[in-house]
Amino acid sequence: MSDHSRTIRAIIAEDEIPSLNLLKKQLLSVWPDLDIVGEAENGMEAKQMIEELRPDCAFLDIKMPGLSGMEVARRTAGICRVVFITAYDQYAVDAFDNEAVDYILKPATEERLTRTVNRIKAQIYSKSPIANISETLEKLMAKMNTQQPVQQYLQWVRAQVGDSISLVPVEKIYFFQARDKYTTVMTKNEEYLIRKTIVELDEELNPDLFFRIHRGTIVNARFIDKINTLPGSRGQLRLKDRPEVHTISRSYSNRFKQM
Amino acid sequence: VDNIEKKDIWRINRRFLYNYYPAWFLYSVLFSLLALTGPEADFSWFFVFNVATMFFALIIYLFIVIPIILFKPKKPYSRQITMLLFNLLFTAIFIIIDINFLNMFPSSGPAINYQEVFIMGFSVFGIGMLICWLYNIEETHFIIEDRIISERNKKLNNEKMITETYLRLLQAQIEPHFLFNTLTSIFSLTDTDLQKAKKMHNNFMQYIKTTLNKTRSSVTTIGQEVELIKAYLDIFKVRMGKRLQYSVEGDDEVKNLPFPSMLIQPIVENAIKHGLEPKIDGGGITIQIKKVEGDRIRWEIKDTGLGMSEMSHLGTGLSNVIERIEMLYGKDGSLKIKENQPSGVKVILEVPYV
Repeated sequence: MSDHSRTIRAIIAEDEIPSLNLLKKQLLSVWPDLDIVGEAENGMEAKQMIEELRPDCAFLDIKMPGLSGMEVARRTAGICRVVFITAYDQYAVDAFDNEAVDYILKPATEERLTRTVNRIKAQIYSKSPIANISETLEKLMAKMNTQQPVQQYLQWVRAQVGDSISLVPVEKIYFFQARDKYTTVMTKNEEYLIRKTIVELDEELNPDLFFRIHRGTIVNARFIDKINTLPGSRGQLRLKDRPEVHTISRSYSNRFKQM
Repeated sequence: VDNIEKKDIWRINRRFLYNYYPAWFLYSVLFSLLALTGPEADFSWFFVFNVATMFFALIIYLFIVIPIILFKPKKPYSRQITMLLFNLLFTAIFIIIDINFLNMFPSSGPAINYQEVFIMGFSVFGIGMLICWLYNIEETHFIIEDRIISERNKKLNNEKMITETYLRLLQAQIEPHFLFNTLTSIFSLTDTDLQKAKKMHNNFMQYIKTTLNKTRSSVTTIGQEVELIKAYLDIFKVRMGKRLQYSVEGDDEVKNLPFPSMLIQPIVENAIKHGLEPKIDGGGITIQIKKVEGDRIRWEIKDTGLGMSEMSHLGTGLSNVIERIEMLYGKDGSLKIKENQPSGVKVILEVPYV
């Protein structure tokens, strides 16, 4: 019980200064003897602060530059108790509720803050062990990533044009054609040369959107206009808005046979 | 859709009239009739005229029609080539018949019934032309039908695209994260910095007001678009503090030029969201607006953010802008996305302003 006199040390990590100031003010009004020992403006700072200052608890904004609040908590798991701060995000809120992770919604109401603070206080004074939430966090982060899928496919093609590098979104590319050491990239009206080979592109592009039709050709399926597949001979393919006729070689023609 | 069909039916009729097969068909019917009724003895003018016509036709085929078909950028259908060969064959047959007639004319062998020869020749040629004609009508129908379908699809697609784009525009402006974050910031400032809160509130009001108005009228001026962008950036300046700087440079003469609303804002939003907000030290946005040659306007939006990795997704905002430029300007509009030096993204947009 003597521990009740010990001041509890906390850090706050929040990249938006107005929100940080407000939270600080609100926290101090419901918890006057809280000692805020550090304020971090990004994830890296927060992680460093937790490791160096070893506070009793950390209020971590989820969305921060550098590292996200969840990543910070995962990497510093076991050091201190964590309360997440989140803006409007129904999905995150549901996920936290399901996993019984402490969080406050921005802007926090006083009752909500009081409830959270009381729970934290109780945990710290009762010296209950700090729950290892890293597994829970990993699970949560994986869930959130499937909600907003991490694209592992190529989205942009970088092409040197003069002395600058153009970024061509793959959605706008009609076809890729191998040419000597280079690959021609054709959009509706423009042509670019890149160093990436057809083999590399075939591996990196989303196979649902880009079809390899020949050893040296990949076409954007969205722009296919006509396909002629005559039995016994090689098929031909034409794209919308483009005059070229592409040959479908026999080894790549299987996917068109089902169409 | 009705318009397209009417127009295309007219096109079918026109093709029908300009066709040379019916002309050849009529030619053979007429000459068959002449041969049938004409005096048996006087065929000399008849064959001279016929040989001349046929040679003329052959020369036209060989030196004009065939080269045109062969050098057309769009390769002809195999059907058309078959028809042409048919045509040549019939013409050649006729010429051979005529030349035979020429060779036999002065000789005094057994009498040849020239009337029969001519009628036979004309019948073969006429029937051939009739076959070609019918074949061609069918082919024309086939092509026109194709064209009607593709044009109808294009139109439907375009309409669908417009609706979808506006839906997305609507979604973009009521993006819940932006709304909630901004309101939270304003709320936070009311306690600590009332002046700043008022200013931010004003900017927010202006942003919401203009974006809501803009779904109704899709054209504003460059000046208004700049005001919208400034309001948007000022909101982020409060939220991001020192981490964001921006500047807008533009001549006064461009201010009053008409411009599609919300065309640039998503580019700026993209720069903030994917470039500057996730960057620890933040950075700057520079916007330059210039009149360039050919009555065009050029926007250059540069940020010093994280930049695009080859795997980072083309945001809905940017792909929306690309689609709208295609829709509004077709080939006349261009949007280039480049890597900025030393970091970030540079977007260059060029469109005609008239």
